[in-house]
Amino acid sequence: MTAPRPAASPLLLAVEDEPRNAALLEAILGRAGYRLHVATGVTEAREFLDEETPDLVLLDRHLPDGDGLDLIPEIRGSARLGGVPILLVSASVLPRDVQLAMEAGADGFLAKPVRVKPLVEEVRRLLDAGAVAPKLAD
Amino acid sequence: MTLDALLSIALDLAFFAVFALSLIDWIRHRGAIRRVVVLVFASTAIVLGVPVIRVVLPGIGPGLDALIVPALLAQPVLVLWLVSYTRHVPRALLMTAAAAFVSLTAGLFYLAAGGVEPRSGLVIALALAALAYFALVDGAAAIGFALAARARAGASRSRLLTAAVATGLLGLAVVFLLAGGVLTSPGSDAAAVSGAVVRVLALLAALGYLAAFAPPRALRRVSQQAIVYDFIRDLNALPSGAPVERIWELLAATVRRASGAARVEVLHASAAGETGDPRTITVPFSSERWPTTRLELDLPEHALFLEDDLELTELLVDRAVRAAEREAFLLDREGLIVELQAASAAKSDFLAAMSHELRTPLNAIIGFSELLTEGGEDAGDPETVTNYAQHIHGSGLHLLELVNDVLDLARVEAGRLDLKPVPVELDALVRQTVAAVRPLADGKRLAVALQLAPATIEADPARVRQIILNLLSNAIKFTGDGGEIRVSLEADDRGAARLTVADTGQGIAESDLERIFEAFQQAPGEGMPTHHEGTGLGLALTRQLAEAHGGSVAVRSEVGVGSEFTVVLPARAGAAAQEAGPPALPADRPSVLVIEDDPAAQELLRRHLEGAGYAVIATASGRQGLAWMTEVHPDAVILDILLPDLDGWEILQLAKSDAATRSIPIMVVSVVDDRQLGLALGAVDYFVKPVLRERLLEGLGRLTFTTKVRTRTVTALVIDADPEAARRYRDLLEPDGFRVIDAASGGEGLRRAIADQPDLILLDALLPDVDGFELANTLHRDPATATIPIWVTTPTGLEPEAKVRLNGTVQGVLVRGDEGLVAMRQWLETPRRAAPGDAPA
Repeated sequence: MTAPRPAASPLLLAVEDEPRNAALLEAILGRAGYRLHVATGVTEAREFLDEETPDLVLLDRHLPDGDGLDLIPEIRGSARLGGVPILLVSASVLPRDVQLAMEAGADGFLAKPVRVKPLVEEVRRLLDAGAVAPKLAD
Repeated sequence: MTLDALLSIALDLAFFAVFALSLIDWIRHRGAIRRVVVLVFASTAIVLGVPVIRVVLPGIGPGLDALIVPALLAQPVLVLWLVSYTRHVPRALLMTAAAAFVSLTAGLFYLAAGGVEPRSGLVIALALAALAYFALVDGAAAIGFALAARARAGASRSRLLTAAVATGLLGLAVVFLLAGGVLTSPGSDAAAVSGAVVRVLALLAALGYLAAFAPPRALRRVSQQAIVYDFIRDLNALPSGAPVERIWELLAATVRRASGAARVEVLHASAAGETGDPRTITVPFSSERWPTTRLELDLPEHALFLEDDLELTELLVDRAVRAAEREAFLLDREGLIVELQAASAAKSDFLAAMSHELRTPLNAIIGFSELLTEGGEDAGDPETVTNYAQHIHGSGLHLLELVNDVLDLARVEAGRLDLKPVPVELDALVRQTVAAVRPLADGKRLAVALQLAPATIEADPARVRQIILNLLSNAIKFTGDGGEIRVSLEADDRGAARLTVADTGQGIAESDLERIFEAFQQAPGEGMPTHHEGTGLGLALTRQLAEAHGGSVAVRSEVGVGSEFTVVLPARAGAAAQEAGPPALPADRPSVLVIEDDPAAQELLRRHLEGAGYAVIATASGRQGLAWMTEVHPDAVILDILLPDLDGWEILQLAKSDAATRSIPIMVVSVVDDRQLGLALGAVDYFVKPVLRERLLEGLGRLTFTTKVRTRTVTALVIDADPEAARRYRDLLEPDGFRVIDAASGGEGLRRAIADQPDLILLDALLPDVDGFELANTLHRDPATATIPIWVTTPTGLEPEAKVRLNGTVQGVLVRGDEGLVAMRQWLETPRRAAPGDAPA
């Protein structure tokens, strides 16, 4: 495993209200060498996104102050954030839930419970794809 | 023997055959009408028969001859007598006919005895008098039958018309007979012809009477078949899904038409019995579905053809019951399908929610355990291992909690929750529970304020702790960092405890206030903004547990300000259910109290009603329901009949005998099918389960001002100088059962409003003595009339300035003309919060 140097390592935003699941994301993605910021709700996520431009957003849906999906159009609509890849990590796994997420504009969908390897790989895949997109946008 | 003689013998034989038929019919089915029919036939039979007997048995000839005259003359009186069975015949007419009969008989006997000159004036005068007597009396009788026919319908009508024609023919026959006797000489051709004519007419008349009053079976079948055919056609024309009441209406209408009965009614009660009136006929429905239902008919005073009517009615009832059974079966099936679909949808939702709820803790369990087993650079670090293990353990506990909640909820819903009530010091229990969750609150820097009065109730401590814990964890979960949670406990004078948990959280939208008590409703689901991070079952379980104790849970909330949950637990679990205070009702929506002990049925009713915008309070206890009716005065009550404590019949009786609750409309929704008893006890409507949502809402929609008319007299006072106005409102309102009183001036109007306490005032803006607006204000200010709704009528509409003056004092403004009346109609049909005159609106 080649851990990127901390300073240059990509910054991920995880929007997740359940503390244990947030801790899990931190454990898995931290071990994989990423920096992770956790927002426990839609409002916190907005506040963070106003200040920072993460390299990827991990999004849960059922948050105490709203539906995580609502953040997608806001991110997509922003010139600064528009190309940031968004990965849905949700326990709502019915086909219609997945479809709804993809239609809203998510780049990927992982069902809870998440497995370590698929999560890390999906994050890496999206980061690799997203690394190109902002450049194209510039 | 000549052809004439043969013909007359044949005709006589035919007549006697008909006479014999009617005689047999009378012997078989004795009855007043048949007796008179036989007498009518007998009179003609004597006239025709005596000459025959004279030929066959010459010895007794002269004695029998004496019978001919009275028998002949009696015929018109007898027919008139027959008419009197079918309709009212003026006594004077009967008397006159009888007097004419007596005097003519006497006159003719005098002639026969006195040997008066055959062609003398007296003979001619008597013959003419007899002619006139026959013509007039038989004519009157024929008209009588025709009138009787006109008042009837169906078979009765055609039979009476036949009788009318027969009477005319009979009269004509006698007139011919007399005319023949007077004008022709015996033995001439003319006499033979007139004799034949008389016989033909008499035979036709006899056949007519037979068809009318003693029809042979085949003939009766024909007329019955026509009616049954029409009835079946009408039944088939009913739209599919028509309520069985429609079928009963059709049945009653058909029976009414066919029998001419004054009252034809389909009755359902087992209680209300026979009236004892011999003219009342009861035909039971003999159906398992409607065991006590029957058709009752009051035959009119001049009832005819009783057995026929009965036979036909039985036939129609049988048809109707079969059609109704089919409809009811279809309706049951439809209701079942709707319920099954709802159940299926609920199951799908439940499974989706379960999946979500299970995956959340499983995510941490699988993820952290994977990290531990996979090994990595940090996996050997004991601190990390402990940390991961703690997450796994915590998530496992969460999972266990979820499983327990599901089991509890299933247990409550199946009615298998065993409460173990012991005396519980509630304040201590609250304190302990708060202490248990304080770390959670501290983690979010939440202030927890306690205000606990001592309260000891009899309850199951484990379950009560569950209730408190659920409310506290909810409050903590939904309140942002640095917020506040206030917990207060008080005991009321009846020993019931009231626990309130208030938070400064995000609040709950009003549209979600009831849904949060449904299992999983606050958890996943598209567009649900709130996420309850417990098991998603907490509030559903909390409510069920509180209700299992005979208590209740209510919520008040304002988005962005906070929520307040109040649990009321009675002094003794379950047993003292009626002592629990009723939940608060919002003032802006019509309210419905549901008294229903089956939790599933209660939930279904709640969902239907809340979906339609009603505020709902529900209880499984009849006593509690009755207490709540007095306390919260709901706009309507939906009542089950089979309840654990008081049954629905008792509740109906008690509610209707108490002035405080009498005016609350009660709708029965039950598996017990005894609509008539329900209505007799004062229910405004009666539904047999399963009841369709639309039916229920339609029934509730009818609980309006107009509905009240059915339970009591609703009086409208019209204050208008124009007498036409009162008439117009009478036309509008009286057909619905309103009582309309009027006053021609403002002064009189005020007096009547105070004295008569009308339910509604219709006030003209232009009055001769006072200003209409002033009067409206006066009425509104006077405590005696303050609660009476007022509608103001104006010729042209109102100036804005006048509208301001009227603001708050009147219900609405009617511009003369139809538009205004439509508005008022709608208002009369709109369910309102308080019954007028019962409480301030």
